[in-house]
Amino acid sequence: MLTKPALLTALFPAVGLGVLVGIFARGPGGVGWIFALLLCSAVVTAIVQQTLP
Amino acid sequence: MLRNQGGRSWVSKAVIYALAATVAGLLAGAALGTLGSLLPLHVSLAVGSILAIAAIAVGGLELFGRRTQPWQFDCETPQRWVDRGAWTWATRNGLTLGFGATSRIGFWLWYVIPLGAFLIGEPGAGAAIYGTYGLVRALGAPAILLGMMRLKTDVSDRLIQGYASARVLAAGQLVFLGVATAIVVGL
Repeated sequence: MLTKPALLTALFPAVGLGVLVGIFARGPGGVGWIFALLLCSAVVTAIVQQTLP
Repeated sequence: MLRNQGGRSWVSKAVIYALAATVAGLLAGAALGTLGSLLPLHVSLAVGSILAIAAIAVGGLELFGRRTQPWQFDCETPQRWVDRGAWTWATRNGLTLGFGATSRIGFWLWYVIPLGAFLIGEPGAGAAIYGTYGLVRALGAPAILLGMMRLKTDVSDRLIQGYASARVLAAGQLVFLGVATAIVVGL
């Protein structure tokens, strides 16, 4: 079970950043933003998988 | 230069391993992007919206401590590949880990890569997404080796100890991506 600080340090910033980027990315350049977010997710996935035994 | 397993230097194995992983990612991503280009745009957007909500739900549940195991084969690459020679081992391992689906996935976030490469609907963009994953995942092994040589300590043990933090990071990224995508394509 994650603690309240973990929630505060991860959930709220994630939602806040998501809303900010989402609002900013609305419009014709939206696909480019989604592509950039997917690239970022690919990098994060590869990094977190290094912690797998 | 350090040498082991059939006299091959670890640098040559690392390069082959990284190349193989990147090629696997590029090919898988290009194939998924090509398949996704066959989907009508409104279908891609609808599926993307649903998946964005699912990402928020899964990531949110994870952060609230309701962990669910991702669907996965949960297996390591076969040890017998070592017997086939250093370069063959590096190539097979690289191809397997760069593709990712047949090995240990560990995090729901991994599914963003094939689904994203598919829904982006362009072979080049799909290849870039999946290829980036393959390359970064493969660079982990030489980075760990270099870390062990410099720090004189078992870096891989330290990484495994960071699994709980990695879960938080992966879940946060899932929520972040889900919220942003839901606003861009769905709301």
